[in-house]
Amino acid sequence: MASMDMIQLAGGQPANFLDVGGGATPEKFVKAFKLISGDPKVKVILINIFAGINRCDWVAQGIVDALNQITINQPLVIRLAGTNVDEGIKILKDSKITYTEAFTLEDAANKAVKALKELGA
Amino acid sequence: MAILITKESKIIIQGFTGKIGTFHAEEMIEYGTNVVGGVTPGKGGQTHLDRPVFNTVKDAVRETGADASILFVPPAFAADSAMEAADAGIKTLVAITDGIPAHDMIKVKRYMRRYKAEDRMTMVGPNCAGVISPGKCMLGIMPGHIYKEGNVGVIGRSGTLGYEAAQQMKDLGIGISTSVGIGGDPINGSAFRDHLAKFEDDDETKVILMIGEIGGPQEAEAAEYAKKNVSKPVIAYIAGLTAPKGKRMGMQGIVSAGGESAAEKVEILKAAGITIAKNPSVIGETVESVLKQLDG
Repeated sequence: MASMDMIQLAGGQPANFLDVGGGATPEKFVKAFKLISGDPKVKVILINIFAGINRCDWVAQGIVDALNQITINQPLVIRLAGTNVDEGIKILKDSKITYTEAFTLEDAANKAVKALKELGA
Repeated sequence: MAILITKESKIIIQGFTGKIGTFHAEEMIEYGTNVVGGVTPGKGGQTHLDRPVFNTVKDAVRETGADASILFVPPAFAADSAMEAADAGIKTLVAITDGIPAHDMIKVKRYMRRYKAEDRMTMVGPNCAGVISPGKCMLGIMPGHIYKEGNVGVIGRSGTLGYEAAQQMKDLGIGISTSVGIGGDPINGSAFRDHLAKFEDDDETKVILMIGEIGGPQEAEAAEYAKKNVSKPVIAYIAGLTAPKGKRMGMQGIVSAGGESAAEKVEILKAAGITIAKNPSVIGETVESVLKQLDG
């Protein structure tokens, strides 16, 4: 919910909000990406995970596995923090997926809005 | 001192031998938490993670002197386990379990009233990240390394926002006395107000940070309480300024109808003399500025 506040503050408009919940598996991410990327109002996808009960390496693997199965047309911004963050970032970097890396919540919101503006240009 | 849990706290885990219980028990032990055993009915007498397993909380308390517990029991049995803990003399209970029926929580709340206020167990949660007194004891599922030891007391509904705040403060060199995640459910064991009272009495805590959100009356009640009873500076952030009215958001049991909107809550808190962090990325900075005023 705070992510949505930040997007608005950065000058964007949240189109769709999805909470992956605890224990995020690749199957969950495939479903999530299908739902979100299928929404015509969604121009940019922002993933913000501060892992507690989740772990960044699971989340990263979930994202990578999902994107190996399906194609999304929107630019992707990812911010990972919390449990096993270094392992998570390494998995994303070693993969072939295209994304913009963000480091804080503010950074993530700004980069998502920037990606949106670049689309319009 | 910190509140609820200290280095001396003796911790047991209810739902000790399950997958989730085991993972987080290991994390807590690694953090330095004094885990003295656990409870899994039917597995009493066994050893798990080099610690004894008991059939009941009563057995565990008698054998280990445990005074705090953390609950990883599935939703259908969680209320029963919470009442068992209260009955066995546990002083602080953290219920991590997500999905406990509201009706069961009503039963738990009523059950607790048989104990005198001063003897009553403090229940934190359910559906929460737990409690951490950094450097001393972790009774929860949070990533322990993002918390620095210090003198800010934190109370929050959202686990993730609690992490966000802890990380921002650590990056600024600000530490936490205790962080309490009261959970996202509409009926919880303890509310902002209960922990404001505890932080007011805690010598180590200099300022208090509240992280609230849309839905429910807890923030407004806390504002009124703080105005009358809390001498320490209070800072608050309320999430959901952009949330649509009446929608259930994520895993939190938040429906913004019923209780004030985020903007209304902000006004109520301001009127009570509470400093507002305007957005989630300036929580750390706002705490820093209040601490500076206090020193200057």
